[in-house]
Amino acid sequence: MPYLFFVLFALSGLFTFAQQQVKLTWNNQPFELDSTYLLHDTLQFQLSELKCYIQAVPQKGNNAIHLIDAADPETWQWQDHATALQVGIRAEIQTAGVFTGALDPINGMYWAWNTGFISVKCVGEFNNLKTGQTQSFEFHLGGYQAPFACIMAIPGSGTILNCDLQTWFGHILETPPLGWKIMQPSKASLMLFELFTSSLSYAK
Amino acid sequence: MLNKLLFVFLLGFLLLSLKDSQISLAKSWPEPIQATSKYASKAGFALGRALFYDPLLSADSSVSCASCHLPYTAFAHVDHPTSHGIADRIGKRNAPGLFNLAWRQNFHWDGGVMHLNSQALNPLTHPDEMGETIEHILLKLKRHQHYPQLFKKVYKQKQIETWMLLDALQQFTISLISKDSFYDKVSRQHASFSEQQQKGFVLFEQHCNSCHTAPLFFSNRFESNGIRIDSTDLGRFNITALEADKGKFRVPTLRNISHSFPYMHDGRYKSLKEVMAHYGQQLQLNDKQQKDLIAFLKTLTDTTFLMNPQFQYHTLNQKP
Ligand code: HEC
Ligand code: HEC
Repeated sequence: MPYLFFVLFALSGLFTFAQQQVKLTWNNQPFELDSTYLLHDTLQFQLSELKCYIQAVPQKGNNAIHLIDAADPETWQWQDHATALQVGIRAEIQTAGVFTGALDPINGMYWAWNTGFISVKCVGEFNNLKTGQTQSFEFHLGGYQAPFACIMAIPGSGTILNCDLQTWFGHILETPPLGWKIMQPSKASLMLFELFTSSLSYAK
Repeated sequence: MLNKLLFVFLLGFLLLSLKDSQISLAKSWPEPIQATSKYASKAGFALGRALFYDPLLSADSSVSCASCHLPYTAFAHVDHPTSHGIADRIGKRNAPGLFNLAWRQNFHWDGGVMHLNSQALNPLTHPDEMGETIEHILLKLKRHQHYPQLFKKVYKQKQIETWMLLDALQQFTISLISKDSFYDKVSRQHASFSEQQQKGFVLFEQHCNSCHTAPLFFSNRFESNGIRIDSTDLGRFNITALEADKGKFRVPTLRNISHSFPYMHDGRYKSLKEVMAHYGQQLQLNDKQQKDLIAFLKTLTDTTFLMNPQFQYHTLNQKP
């Protein structure tokens, strides 16, 4: 009898779904699209679109894929039993054809001309308050093919994932200029993607 | 007895329904690579055909798939070197003919697209082609007088979704098969080549078949055929970023080639004569040899396919 309980207990572990959450922030304050945020006191940022694919890590089975959309708070949380995550979608899935749900091409994350998905899409602009100059940018960071595959595990695990956009743009501005319109797999897109992934962390 | 009859009846029915949903193969053709739809049916084909000819799918309802892929020219685009879409924006590449697509490993001149069904996302949403959003197309289809019924008949589901639109288009395009040219009749020993065609055939086997391989007359490889590279389009390199792929393009089919002018990925040559002048220089073929080759290439024209009424424009409710 106790044996049976043990089996049930072990099985229940397989089916427990934890509430998971992504927190979008700018300098630790809640982030919103179309609001303005300051960086280095002189650069005023504004994003009009931010979307990103997160997939549970165990590299087997059909793990849930979540499309985080800054415009839709419902996409910022989900139930899952896996707590280790990656940014981007596994290659086999990217090349397997047309899907529904989070992968529906209607979401604007499917790359029609180059089979595969965009892992991180970010569109916006910044003003240099000192010089009055405006720079718009558009990043479509994705693809599954080496050497520029934009798929990467987020180190550690947890149930609350922080995504601090000030950290990301701070890092972008510290690297040699990569270009502001990056729409296809390249060295620059991989670099921006790595900087994005490294700006993610699990809440302690 | 009754059992036997029933069995024969069922078998017949099964075979008939298979016939309905499968693409028939000429002998000695390789197995197709692209998967047929799970929903393949007559109704699905007719829906795909209706969509293919319907300008409703473009942003300003002025351009349909058939604007660039005309049935009489093997579904290629003929009056410009590169195809043009809504508001007369000129795309940068030559629209290829659409047939025998099931045997393609990937699509487009650079092979960037791996599935026939997802290919249609390109023209539908490309600003230089049909310039629409999927969201808006689905909305227009849902509000249409006839489409909701037609989709429901094929997909047994009330809502029209992206994959259904793509699946229906693919049901039409995958069934565009061309295998009844004069060459095919000769290879089935129902006809024979003229002396000049025969000479051209021999030259073809010698110089061209390694890339444009019979019976499909293409191969799923990316090659350089020696034409001058234009730095604005580096072909396969755009997809793989491999130095070795710079300036390589996929090997196009030569079936129906007399009808799918202009030629090459950017439509730089207007006639087969110009194409042969290029190869003549590359491969040291004299004038007469070039003419013989053209005579052979013309045997690859399949008028049964080009004139097939099944593949041509039908109104929405017309029977197939
Ligand atoms: C404005 C012109 C235009 C329109 C409209 C258009 N196409 Fe195309 N099509 C092209 C061009 C150009 C290519 C080649 C693109 C490339 O290689 O980059 C192409 C390629 C294709 C291919 C790949 C063929 C191959 O062998 O690789 C298919 C399939 C196709 N089109 C189907 C369609 C369908 C279905 C539609 C309607 C939804 C459509 N096209 C609408 C111009 C057009
Ligand atoms: C090394 C491989 C190779 C060989 C050999 C070759 N071709 Fe090609 N051919 C190609 C490629 C690749 C293209 C497309 C090039 C481009 O658009 O940039 C092409 C394009 C063509 C086209 C234009 C097709 C279209 O739809 O635009 C014709 C016609 C053609 N070849 C005929 C021939 C003939 C005839 C021969 C033999 C004399 C030959 N080719 C030998 C690779 C080859």
